Amino acid sequence: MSAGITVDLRSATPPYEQIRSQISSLVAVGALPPESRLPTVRSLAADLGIAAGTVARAYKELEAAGVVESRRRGGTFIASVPGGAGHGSPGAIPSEVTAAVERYVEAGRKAGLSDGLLLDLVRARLGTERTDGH
Amino acid sequence: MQPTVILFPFLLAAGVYLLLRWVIWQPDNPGSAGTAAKHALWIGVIGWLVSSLQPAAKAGLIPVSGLSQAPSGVDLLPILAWPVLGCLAVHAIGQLSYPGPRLPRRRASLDVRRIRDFLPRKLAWTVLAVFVTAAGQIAWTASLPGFDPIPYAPQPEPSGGSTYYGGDGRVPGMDLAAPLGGALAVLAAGTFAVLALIARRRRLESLTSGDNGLLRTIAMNRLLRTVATVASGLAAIAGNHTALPDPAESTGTWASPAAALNLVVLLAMWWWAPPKLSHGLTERRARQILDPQPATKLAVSIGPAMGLAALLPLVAAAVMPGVLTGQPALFVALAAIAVLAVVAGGEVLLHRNHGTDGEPRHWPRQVVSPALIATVVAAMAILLSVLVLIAVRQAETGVPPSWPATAWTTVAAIGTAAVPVAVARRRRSIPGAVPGLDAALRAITLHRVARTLAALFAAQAGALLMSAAPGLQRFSPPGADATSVLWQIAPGAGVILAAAGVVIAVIPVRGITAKPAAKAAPAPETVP
Repeated sequence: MSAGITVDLRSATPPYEQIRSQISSLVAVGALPPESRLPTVRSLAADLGIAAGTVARAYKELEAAGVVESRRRGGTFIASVPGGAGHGSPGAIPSEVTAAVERYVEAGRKAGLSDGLLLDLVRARLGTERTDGH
Repeated sequence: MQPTVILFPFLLAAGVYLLLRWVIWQPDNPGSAGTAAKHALWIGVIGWLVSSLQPAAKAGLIPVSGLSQAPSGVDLLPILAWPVLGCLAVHAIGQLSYPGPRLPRRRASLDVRRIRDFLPRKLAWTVLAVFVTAAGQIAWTASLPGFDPIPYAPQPEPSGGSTYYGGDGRVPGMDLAAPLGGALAVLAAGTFAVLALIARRRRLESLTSGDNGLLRTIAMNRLLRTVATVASGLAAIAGNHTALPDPAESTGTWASPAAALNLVVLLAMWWWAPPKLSHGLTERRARQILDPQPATKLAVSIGPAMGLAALLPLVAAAVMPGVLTGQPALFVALAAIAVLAVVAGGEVLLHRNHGTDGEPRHWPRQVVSPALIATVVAAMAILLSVLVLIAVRQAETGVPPSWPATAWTTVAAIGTAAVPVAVARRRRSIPGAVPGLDAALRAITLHRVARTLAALFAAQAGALLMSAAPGLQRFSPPGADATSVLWQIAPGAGVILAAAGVVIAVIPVRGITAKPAAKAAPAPETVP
């Protein structure tokens, strides 16, 4: 496993939500396989330079959504059958969707667009669809 | 208990933290590769400085003079706590002093960092072996009985003269082994805890993941090297207790193999340099990229072989127990002879594998640098002075002379030194794309010979003082006359001279080789 997350302190999205959504996404695309262990709250908070409570809240919400599970003395692990957050299990994502995401990221990188802008484009598109009543 | 006893360590810890923060701190770019490398070096140096076990060196011994008391078991605890807890604390504080991320956009890996991901394996196994050996030595010490000191008194010899018998006593082994064993256990547990801290500490945002990992490996390297010397020092204290002969049956002259082993561990750990944090390249990889001439590669590879050869007396002592015990002069000379034999062997290999007939031989314009020549002369003068001093004093007091062993073993080693010099003088020339390569390789060999001789002289002088001076101290008790103070400090001077010998033995060729020759060398050697 070599997955990473970023937290942008200038973003309007709270840091805990950024962490939660990125871990959910990584689980959904299979970058974080079931049973893989997540770093401790303190370790991740130290790396990100944010309060431990922020990371703890993100983990708590992920646990409530069934994406991760906490084991006594064992740490936090990706749930065996991740659910919640509307993602379903990694296998539930059609391969053409995964391929489309990869093509989108690749095209964005080729065009020199930042990660933040790529995310904003997707959010804007999803927002438009919601407004249209889809 | 005074409040300062508790307050002082915390103030010291705060001072170390502030110092390390100052080293790593850069207003524009805190935690850059350059400052991180400096910071890691500072941690290693401070940790090394606080790890000295010298105040406990004579623990468990009962001095015959009664003037200076060896620390008791209770006294020993704070003496051992300082180096053991001190070096661990410095490394732990070092990890806590790294700056946190400052950029608005923060990155983190979701990998769980484990000790084994960054641990330098070979070093870790070596350190484990040192710990196991130390535990074995301490366990052995625990089983030994104590004995009382016996004042020195002359006893007639069958040959007609008289010999002084007597010497220091020692406490029962268990009294010493308990605090030493406790200190070793704390050191082992603390080392594991600090290793875990190194693996888990925050990453530096200005470094790549690779460099962050390398920095953790560097920190582990420095920690392991330091704790290995502390563990070896604990074993040496136990070994001194074990090696002390019964004063009822001895003349007071003794040597501790564990102390010699401690010196070897110290040297090996000093030598075990960590990888360098520079553009993600380790020093070894950078050296490979240079790809020097095959003859230069051979000359460079002789350096590690010399280091291994210096360990020959230890192997001999292990294979033939009792032969080298109590013979420090023979021990030192054997190491020097082995090193000189390797140097000569290197020249023979150059002659056979890389030499070309018919090429003119190039002799370096300046054979050995003036600084090294001065070192050789000074070390020789010191050895001669010590020899004369000990010989005269032993003759005056009737103590069995121990200086002849130093004299003849040194002469034998000097004779051996003629071999590599002669081979370097007569071997075939080495043609190379770089002008001056042949002369530079000969200069390296001559430098190694001169360096080995200088180290031999200093170490022999130190060994003679360490082994003979304790037996002579009783004839010059403190305050007896103007020279008595010299005999009181003589064993300490011996330790310094022996340490100087070790330092001289590892002076790198770079910068010492005569300048004209060094200028011609394509890839200056960096190994001892």
